[in-house]
Formats: sequence, C-alpha cells, structure tokens
Amino acid sequence: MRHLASGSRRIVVSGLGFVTSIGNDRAAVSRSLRELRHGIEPFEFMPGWDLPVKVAGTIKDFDTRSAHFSEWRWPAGYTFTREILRSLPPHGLHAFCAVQQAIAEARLAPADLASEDTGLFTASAGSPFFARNALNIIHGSNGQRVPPLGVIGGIAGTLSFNLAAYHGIRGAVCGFVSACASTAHALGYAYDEILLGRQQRMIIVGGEDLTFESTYPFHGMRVLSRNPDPGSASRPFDAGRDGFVGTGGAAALVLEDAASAQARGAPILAEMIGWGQASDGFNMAISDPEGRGLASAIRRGLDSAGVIPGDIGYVNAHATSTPTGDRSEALALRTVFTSAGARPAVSSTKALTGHGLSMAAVMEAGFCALALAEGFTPGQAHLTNPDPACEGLNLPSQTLAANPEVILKTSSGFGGSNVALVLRRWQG
Amino acid sequence: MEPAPQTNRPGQTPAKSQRENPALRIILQGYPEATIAACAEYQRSGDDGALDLAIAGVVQHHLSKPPERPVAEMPGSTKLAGDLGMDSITMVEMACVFEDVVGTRLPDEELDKIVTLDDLRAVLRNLPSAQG
Repeated sequence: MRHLASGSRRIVVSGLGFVTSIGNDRAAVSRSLRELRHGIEPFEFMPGWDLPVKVAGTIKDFDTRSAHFSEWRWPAGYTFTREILRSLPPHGLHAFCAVQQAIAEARLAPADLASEDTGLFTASAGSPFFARNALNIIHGSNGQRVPPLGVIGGIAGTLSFNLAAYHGIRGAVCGFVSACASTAHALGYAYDEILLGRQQRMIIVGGEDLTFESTYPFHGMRVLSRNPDPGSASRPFDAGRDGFVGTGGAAALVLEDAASAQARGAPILAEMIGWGQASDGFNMAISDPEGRGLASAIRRGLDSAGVIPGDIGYVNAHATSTPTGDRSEALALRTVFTSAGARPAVSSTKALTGHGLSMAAVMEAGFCALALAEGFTPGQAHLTNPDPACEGLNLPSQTLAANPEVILKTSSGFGGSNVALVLRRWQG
Repeated sequence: MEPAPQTNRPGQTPAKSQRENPALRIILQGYPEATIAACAEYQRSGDDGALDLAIAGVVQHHLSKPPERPVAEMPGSTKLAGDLGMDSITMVEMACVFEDVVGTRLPDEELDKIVTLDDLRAVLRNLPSAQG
C-alpha cells in the first residue's frame, strides 16, 4: 500500500453532519450503526390515498409537511429566519442543519467559509414538492401570480444556491447530477479540487425531500418495496428483497487539506486516498447485469488510492435492496475481490436508512468516516437469506468491533454511472 | 360564505360587515396578526390609513433583521434598498403580496419607480382597481 495518495498533499474528513432517518447528529447515527437500529416507519406518501408503498426512512424531530415554511418545525439549537427559509425546500432545511453540524465539528469559523479557499459541491434532485406548490399557484392564477422563488427552491442546484449565499462561499461551487451516484461524484471531484491545489477545503452536501412528489414516482418503475414491514422492507442482498425504501434528509462532509485541518486543531476522522468512476454503457436505468461498470470503477478507485483488493477491510455497498441492482453489485464485488482472494466485510447501510438517492453517497461516506474514526464495521441488517449471487461475499449480520484500515464506498446511479471512493483510517 | 371583496377602489368602499377575505390568510401565511388585520381592514374599507399600516407591516416582515424602530415610524424618505437593505427579489416578493392585498396587478414600470417608503405608498394608492 502506498503511504500517500498522491504527492505530499493529504486529504482528510474533518467534519460530518447528519439529518437522516437513523439520527440527526453524529452520536445518534453512530449508535444506530453499531446497534443496527433502522429508521424506517409506516409512512403515508399522500394522506388518505391507498398506495401500495407503505414505509419510508422518516426524518424525526422535523416537520416540513406544509407547503409554507411558516408551519415548519425543527429541533432546538437551530435558528432560521424568514429570509433563509423563503427559498428552501424541505431538504434545504435539513441541509442547513447538517452543514451547521459539519462546520462546527471541523471548527470552521465564518471567515474560513466566506473565502476563496472554500468550495461547495452539492447534489439533490431539487424539490418537485416546492416546484409543484409554485406551479399550482401559477396554474391557479392563469399565470398571473408567479412565486418569485419557485425556481430557486425547486430546481436541482437549490442547495448550492442557498448554502453558498448564506455562508458567503467564494470558491468552487457547483452541483452534480448523476442520480444516486451524485454525491459520490461530488466527493470525488472535491478530492480532485484539493489534490490539485485549487481549494483548501470543500464542503460536500447531499439532500433529498422525502415526499410524494420526490419519492413515490419511483414506484412507476416498480423499484420501491411494497413490503409494509419496516423491519424487513429494506433488505439489501437478501433473496426476499423487493425494492428500495425511500428516505430523505441531508448529510454534509468537510473534506480538506490535512495541513489546513491540523492548523485549526480540527479533528481528523478519516483520510480520503482516491476514487474512480466508470459507466455501464448499457441501459438508462438498469444496472449492467454482470456489474461490469461498477467493477471497473472499483478497480480504478483502488488504483487511484494505491491499494489492492486485499487491503480493503470493509465495503459500504451501494446496494439499495432492488433485485437487479443488488445482484449486479454482488457480481461486481465478486469480480474484484473474490477473484483476488480478498474477503472484506460487505454491508449496505441502506437496510437501516432506506435509500437517500443523490444524498446516499455522502451520507454513507460519512458512515465510513465514523467507522474509521471510532473503530467499527457496520453489519448487514435484515439479511436472513442471502441471494445466491452473493456467494463468497462476507456479509456480517452484526456490526463488528473490527477496526478497518481501508474502506471502499461504492455508488451507482441511473444510466450506469458508477463511483468508488476509498477512505483510510487516519494515522497521522 | 360571503364572496371576498374584489376591489379597493376609493368611493366603492365595501361594507364594514364583510368578512376577511379567506384567501388573505393563505397569502399572508406566517405574517404577524397585526399585519394581516391591517390588510383585511384595508380590503374592507379601502382606507388609506389602513393601507399605510399594511404597507409598514409587510415591509417590516420582509426585512432581514429587525429594524431599530418600526417601519410605520420611519420617515417616508427611507429607501427600501439603500436604507433597509432590500434586494430586488424581496421587492418582487412584496409586490406579489401587495398585488393580492390591493387586488390588482402591479406593472413592472410602476415597481421600478419605487425607491422609498413614500414611493411605495404612492404607487399602491394610485393603482387602478382590479375592476376598474
């Protein structure tokens, strides 16, 4: 294993923020991962409608059901003014909270953020909920009433617009749109920004609304689980899986030059040592049946990090609990690891959280950083009957005290976009 | 339920007994009760004094920070952008609210004339009525 990812610059995770179905701060998330507590509950996507999708990974202690922010509620400790709220969709509120946690942990002062040295990469699908509410007003008035901020809050990019303006960020700011691989790409390119010396630090943020408008349309492809049992609806790699469970919220991660973090006395939770990407070139929605694109992305990620399959102690899998996607990923992992005689622990934490779509990768990379910082390996929850496609994979049913040294985080999105991120325990 | 008043044209003042326009509460969701009451009073009476109170309440609600003194007590020469820090999006947000309170469209060329509180009051008072 190479000691350094590239050159002398080392890139580390110095702050995390979570508003997720399994916890709204680092401590709660860590507890859920260790105890394999899921955050999935019965959920009415549209009250009163008899829909076949019955559960979701809900966000607790927030209430963003109203179309108007004046009726929203959030936990104590956060302050929002009308000026901030007016252009936020529900996941924007969550993202502000997650970023606040991450910058507090990283000990970043307002002047550190309002700087050309700090960038912001974000991803979300935008807010069909926010857009629909604005469009309802426009339609209802025959185009005479047009909410001024309907576009800002509704389109993909809304997290960048709102967060960059609020924090005065003057470095690289942009959004990523590769569906469920979006924040994996954001992390990868953020790593490159720092590696190339363009930025000292990057804040990576993902968020999604958990709403009828954002989540339920996935039922059109029959990719949402119809299992009404919160305890088994999301069961990646299990032979009985029948689709993913939607979730929302937000996650944030501060990635920065190690020297910058150390100069500030910030905690270093993990080191990012490389990443890779490759595409399937196969189908607009369905994964390559043999996982060829993902296997290629993993190899590129390992090469970029200067590690071999046997160095990987844990794989945080993308596996969303869909029959096709999980099988494809299992085969990709077997191609890279089993064929090389390597047997890292593998789990998909989506069994606990549900699938956060474009926020999934940054949320799960955050879980990986926690595992590296605190010394545990998340187990595979809800696995009772592994899919035969997983033969040879090491899927621990409980979280292990084992302290992985190097973790691989995989992500895949529509169109066959695959990303592999490599993180390592910080050893100074 | 009685129909909501549709006009504020001076000389066609609706009867005081008419109820508050139910749509007003939707438009003014999150606003202080005193501002909603001032807007409702204006819609009932068409009174310029009520309109001034409504304007002050709406402007104050849209400020990014609480002002040192209430907008209603500020001089008419107070500039919305220069003194109160309002950006153009906030101006458009307020224009949308005023259009619903007053009951008629606020043409862009009228909006462009608004620099001070007095300008805002003058433009809103002189708008042609929705039914005009």
